[in-house]
Amino acid sequence: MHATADDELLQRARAGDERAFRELVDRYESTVAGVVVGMLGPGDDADDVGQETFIRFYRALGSFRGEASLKTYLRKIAMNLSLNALKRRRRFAFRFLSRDRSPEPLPEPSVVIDGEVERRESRLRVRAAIERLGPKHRPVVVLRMIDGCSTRETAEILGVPEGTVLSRLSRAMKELEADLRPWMEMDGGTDTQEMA
Amino acid sequence: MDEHRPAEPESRVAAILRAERASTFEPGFAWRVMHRLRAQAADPRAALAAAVQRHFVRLAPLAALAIVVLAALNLHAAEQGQTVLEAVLGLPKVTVEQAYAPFQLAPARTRRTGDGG
Repeated sequence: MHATADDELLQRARAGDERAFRELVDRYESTVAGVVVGMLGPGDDADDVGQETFIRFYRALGSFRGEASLKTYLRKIAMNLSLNALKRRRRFAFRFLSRDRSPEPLPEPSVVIDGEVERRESRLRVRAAIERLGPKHRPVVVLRMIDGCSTRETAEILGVPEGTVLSRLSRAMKELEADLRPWMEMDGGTDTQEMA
Repeated sequence: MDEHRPAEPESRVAAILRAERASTFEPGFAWRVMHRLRAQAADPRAALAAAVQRHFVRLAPLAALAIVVLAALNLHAAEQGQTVLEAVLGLPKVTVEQAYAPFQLAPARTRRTGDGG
């Protein structure tokens, strides 16, 4: 439970209280980071889009009526800006990178992996698999599976019917499963050997 | 044993994805947001851009309407040979020849002198 209610902070921020707005940024950084880093991966690009999300929110303070929850509202801005950033990335890649260049191959699963190295490799593989998802599937996976939003909230943020969210999610999970299966099987095999 | 059986691939993928969630940006994120806000507030061009962006939804239809009206007026003027502005102000139609013709100065009037009366 927050010490000061969001409504009070919003009122103060609307009246020009910078400290109140900063408190809101601190409070909802995690919400925005979940969407933006999920969509773009960690790095400067994500940080920039995260900042822009709060700047847009600041400018829209007067028009925010509270029909949607603040979390949903911020997720919606963050998702729209992330999708724009992805479009820019694709345009850049199309213009400046060779079209026939295949994506960087992931390293072969290492036989001796433990602790931090294993976690890092796992993150890289999952990240690469998410980035291979199409622009319609990635937002659904990020909101529904990574961020833990409900189907209804995901649908509201993306502006599509709930049925569309479910069908996109199903296809995306199949793609991810197919992409990550060789690595998971290898991982499972190692576990079995260890257990034996 | 059941607990040693590997989970279904999809639920394993779901578990891996849940572990992927980023909870914060790099340290100092709130400071960077506030700094950027202040910088934008101090820059009049950024303020103008922000205002245009904010009112875009209201401005865009008006701008589109103005474009359509101007295009219609231009077409009308091309058909009539006279622009609406010329018609409203009652300006005479001027041809290129008239415009480039040498000025015809009015003959100088002779000054009347008082001693002739």
